[in-house]
Amino acid sequence: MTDDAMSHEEAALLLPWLVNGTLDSSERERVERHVRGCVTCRTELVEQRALASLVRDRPVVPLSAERDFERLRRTLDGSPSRGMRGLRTAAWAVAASIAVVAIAASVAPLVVGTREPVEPYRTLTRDEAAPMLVDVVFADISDDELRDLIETLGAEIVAGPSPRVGRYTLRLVDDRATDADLDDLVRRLRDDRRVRFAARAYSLPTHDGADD
Amino acid sequence: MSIDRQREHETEADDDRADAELLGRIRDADREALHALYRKYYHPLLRFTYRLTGQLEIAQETVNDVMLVVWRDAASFEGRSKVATWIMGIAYRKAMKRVRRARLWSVRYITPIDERIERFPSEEAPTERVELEDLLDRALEALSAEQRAVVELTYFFGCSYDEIAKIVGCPVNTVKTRMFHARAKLKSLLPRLGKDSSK
Ligand SMILES: [Zn+2]
Repeated sequence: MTDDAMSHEEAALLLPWLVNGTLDSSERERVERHVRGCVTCRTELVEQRALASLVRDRPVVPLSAERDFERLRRTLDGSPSRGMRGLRTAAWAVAASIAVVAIAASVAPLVVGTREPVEPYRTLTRDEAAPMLVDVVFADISDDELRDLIETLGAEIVAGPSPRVGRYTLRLVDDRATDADLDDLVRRLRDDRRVRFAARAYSLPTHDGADD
Repeated sequence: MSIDRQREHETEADDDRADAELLGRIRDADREALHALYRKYYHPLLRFTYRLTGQLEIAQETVNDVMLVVWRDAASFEGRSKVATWIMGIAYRKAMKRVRRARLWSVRYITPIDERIERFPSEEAPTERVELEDLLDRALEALSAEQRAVVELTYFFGCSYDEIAKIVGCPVNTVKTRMFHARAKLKSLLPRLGKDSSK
């Protein structure tokens, strides 16, 4: 059974798992035998190898597991750590992680699902028009370096990396940070050669559609 | 090559035994074991759920949803798959639940991707931004969450099609065809794929 020739259709479906090395040996041999004689599959194999390495090289989000474990621990202890506040934080992240999208005001009420007026996440902004946030895009930087840099600057990640450009949105850890502190953060980021782009985050667009 | 492969299998098996042991302790309500398992799976889970939901804080919450299930349902793990496969399966279900919930309002409230690109304030953005466009990310965004899951599981997590079928809860043939459609779509969006000899 394992000796019969594999059809192109069958082999073509299996190429990704030839690439990631998880086919069992008899199936692998059959696919390889087909590929040797099939130009289409050979081309496809090169492309799939390139795709696999692209996917593998995407960075893992450098957040601290300990902080989120702390949240889980509180949930297990039964304290109300995931109530409205948690959801509002999530709604904020939706806005921040795609900061360029004019959905901030419209998404929040839906996610939160309340009749309360929606305010930006309190500790992040003091003024709806000017979020105390900085957008940054890194060049070549390892996860560890990124974590260290952000920590050294007294900042933390509130969102990112954005799926398109890998943009992180940062804020200063100190709640009392001023505009000047934030401008200073931007300057220090720009001085770092591993930073390709740093700027105050754009003010969140106000929702101009019909809202209830 | 085959020796490497053999060794890989062995370390995988060791790894799974270590996970199973932690799970056994979690069944006995051992918080330290939960913490250890959490540390081990946090980043892979975050990556996977972020890829599926597209929103970091939603992904973070999903990771905790998953680990809460692990904590509560550790006793229901019957050892018919690797612990990792079981956990990723929970992650897939939890993340897809979030995705479906998001779909309910996204049609009305999320700006289409093309419009998003135009809305990027150009005076703030350096011309470099264009270089920074991550074609792969954009292409992956164009896939369905189900397709993204299969691509990630295959190429980032290195899962076999059998494992993927268990994780996403569908027949093996569906996994293969779903990947096939995802490949076709990615190929149309990444025409230079495989022609770039930078590596
Ligand atoms: Zn072929």
